Amino acid sequence: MRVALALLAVCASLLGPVAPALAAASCPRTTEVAMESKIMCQVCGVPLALANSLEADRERVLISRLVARCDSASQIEAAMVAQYGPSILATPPAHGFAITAWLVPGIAIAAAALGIGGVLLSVRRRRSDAPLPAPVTASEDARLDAALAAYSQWNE
Amino acid sequence: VLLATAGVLVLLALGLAANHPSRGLDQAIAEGRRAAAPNVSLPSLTTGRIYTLRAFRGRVVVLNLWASWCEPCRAEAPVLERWSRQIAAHGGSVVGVDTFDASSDARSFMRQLHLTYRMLRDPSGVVKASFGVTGFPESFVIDRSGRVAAIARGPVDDAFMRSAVLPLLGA
Repeated sequence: MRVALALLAVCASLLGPVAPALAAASCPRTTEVAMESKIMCQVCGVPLALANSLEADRERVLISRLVARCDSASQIEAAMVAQYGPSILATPPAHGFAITAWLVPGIAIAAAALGIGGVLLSVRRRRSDAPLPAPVTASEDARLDAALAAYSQWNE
Repeated sequence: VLLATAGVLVLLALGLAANHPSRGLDQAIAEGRRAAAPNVSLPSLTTGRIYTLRAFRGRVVVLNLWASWCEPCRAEAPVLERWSRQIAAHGGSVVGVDTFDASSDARSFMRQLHLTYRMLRDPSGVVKASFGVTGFPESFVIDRSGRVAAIARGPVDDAFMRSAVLPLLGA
């Protein structure tokens, strides 16, 4: 028991100075640059990273304040939504009419895959259904031999 | 495939229509008509209490859309403050709608300029969409029966307030 307690004390004394350092290393938990692609400039209608307006600058100030406060990306997103509403997020919400932004690309890819698959299948079917060429007749065979002989004579 | 393409095209058309600012109110005024103001409900910037535009029926309302980051809004606000005091006794109200703004910035704007008229908060731009607002500031003069009588697409000045608001007050 004493040995265990002594070991615990040693561990605590070793980890004691490390813990604040670890916490400090994890702060800031995100950057302004990372957040600028996740947040919209509402007036400009583009992500903050592409925006150049007074409103965008105010949003940047707010984000910098939250980053400096050591908020995580999701905490900053939540704070921005609380200030500006859900339209501040660059990623559309997965409900209401905005869900089409998620569904349409998937539906379009599935439709394109189905279309391409259908075309390939129909081409393959058409090829396999095509009639086999008629066998070469004796006269055709003779004509071919004659032509080849003439060709080789001409080459010599 | 054809159905999917048609669906995508319909969605694109719907998206374009939704993002295009409505000019119905301007057209009505140009034709000498007064269109009913869209009824919006917004929280107060200072108390959080919800107000509807319909609640102002019976008063002449100057609905002013602004933001703390908007420089022309800063220049216009003292004019609105002065007119708000002048028209209050004659049944007129100036109602500010802070749009696309951080509430702390908006409140500090109010304090700096000593603004006392009612301020509502529209962080996601509901009023902007329903009134067809394209920039800041913009003001809508709404008569006592809730119809839009005049629009200022830009900062208001004394001349606009005299010509658009005073006749409605009967002052």
